[in-house]
Amino acid sequence: MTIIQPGMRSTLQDHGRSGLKKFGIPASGVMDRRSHDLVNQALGNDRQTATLEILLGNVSMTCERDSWIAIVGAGQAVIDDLTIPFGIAQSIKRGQLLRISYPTDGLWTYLGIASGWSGPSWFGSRSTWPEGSMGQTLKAGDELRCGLSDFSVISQHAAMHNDIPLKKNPIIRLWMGPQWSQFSAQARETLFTSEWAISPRSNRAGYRLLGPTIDCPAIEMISEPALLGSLQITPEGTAIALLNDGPTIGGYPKIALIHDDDLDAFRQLQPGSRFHFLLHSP
Amino acid sequence: MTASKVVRATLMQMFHHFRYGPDAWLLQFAGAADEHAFLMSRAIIDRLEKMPPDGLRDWTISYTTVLLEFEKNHCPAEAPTFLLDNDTFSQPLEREIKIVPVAYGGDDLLRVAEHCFMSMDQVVAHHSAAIYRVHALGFAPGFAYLGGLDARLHTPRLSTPRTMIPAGSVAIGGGQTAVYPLPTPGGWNLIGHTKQVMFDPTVSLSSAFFLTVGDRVRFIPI
Repeated sequence: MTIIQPGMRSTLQDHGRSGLKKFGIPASGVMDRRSHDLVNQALGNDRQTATLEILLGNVSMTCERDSWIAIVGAGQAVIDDLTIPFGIAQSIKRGQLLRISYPTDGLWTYLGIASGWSGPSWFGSRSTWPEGSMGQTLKAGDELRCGLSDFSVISQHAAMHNDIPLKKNPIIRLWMGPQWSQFSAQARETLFTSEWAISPRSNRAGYRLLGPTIDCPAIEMISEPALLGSLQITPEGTAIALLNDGPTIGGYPKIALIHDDDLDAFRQLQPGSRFHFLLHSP
Repeated sequence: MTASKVVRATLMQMFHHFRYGPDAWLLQFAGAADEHAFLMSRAIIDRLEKMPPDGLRDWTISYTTVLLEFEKNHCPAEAPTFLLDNDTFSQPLEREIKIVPVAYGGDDLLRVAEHCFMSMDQVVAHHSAAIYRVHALGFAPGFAYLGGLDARLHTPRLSTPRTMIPAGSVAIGGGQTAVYPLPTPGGWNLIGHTKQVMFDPTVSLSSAFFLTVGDRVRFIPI
């Protein structure tokens, strides 16, 4: 594939790196695990096979060699002006143009190819992390390559899967965070009684939230490990959700932790779209 | 149980062990970022490497806390405090002192000086006089949390973190000091800059980091 329009941020991602947090290397990996997995299922690929993660569409590319692709996530995709269904392996021929549109809902779209995209790997994963000097985002003129595909395997795995985790006004469940009990009752109540939105000042390292100020306890913490999905509160009262490329250790109090089953939906929320939090009791 | 073990068991209970969601434990093993905490963390790392608990997926250690992340449905119901039982730890060998040359004069040097009621030159003098120890690597790849910052230099983090800090920035956050290895967001006070490369992702894991846990470090003004 030759990239014509690279989009805002298109990077190869897989399920990320593990066992490296002790060096300060975050897991990275896909923001929507379910969509990524559905792409690889449709193509008969292993789930750790890298897919192209696309932020807010606006991507186009030309096919240089006949192959099979699958797409799941935000937006719509067309091959030469013909809309293709998500979650099903699609044949794409040399010379055809693939376009992925700007989505009205959701942020991330996943494009996979039979046998997987090839490319460099860092410490056991192909997940790109430009801020950590691990690869670059795609630019116009880049070529995405893949191995040779086995058509018989693909046709067996083709299945209808397109239920992506995009919800209107979702409820995101939270566990208590390590400093939960140090926040005032009023601060905790504010978290659950308010309407929240994702700030445009967000990225793969963390989403800042727009909403009321949460009173931060006046403690100068000794920096401690942070779990992905933690909700930290800055001294001025802004909530930030720590995500895939985020810090492994941090010094701001963490009031809560996003429930793992709601993380994909949370990470697919566009800036401005509204949601609520609910305290999850096991 | 010997008397000393009883005392230690009592002390252990004062520390907070937190079930961090369904799949993780955050264990506290010390009360302050001091020499005892440093020796404890070395012993815990040793245990985690030699006999990790069943189903352990990843771990992260800081000055006084260690995070244990387990595979789904493998997180033990009780805190695995056996990792903190320090019967076996021995005094680690002293390593050479690694030198980090620093051009002092960052954006917040004046803020630190004013907070600490001293001149900027005094901040530089105190900061470059100490020999620090690497207590933890975290936050970003190769970001070494150093212990041993002069108490007179403790300065609160910024109330709003900067969205981007240049690589090589030398900074103070509360009672901690460190070098930012990569351009990242961050809330610490910037007091200088070094050209020493802290993280190189193009080489093997064993040589990718300038500083590792246990190293001793000194900053030299240039």
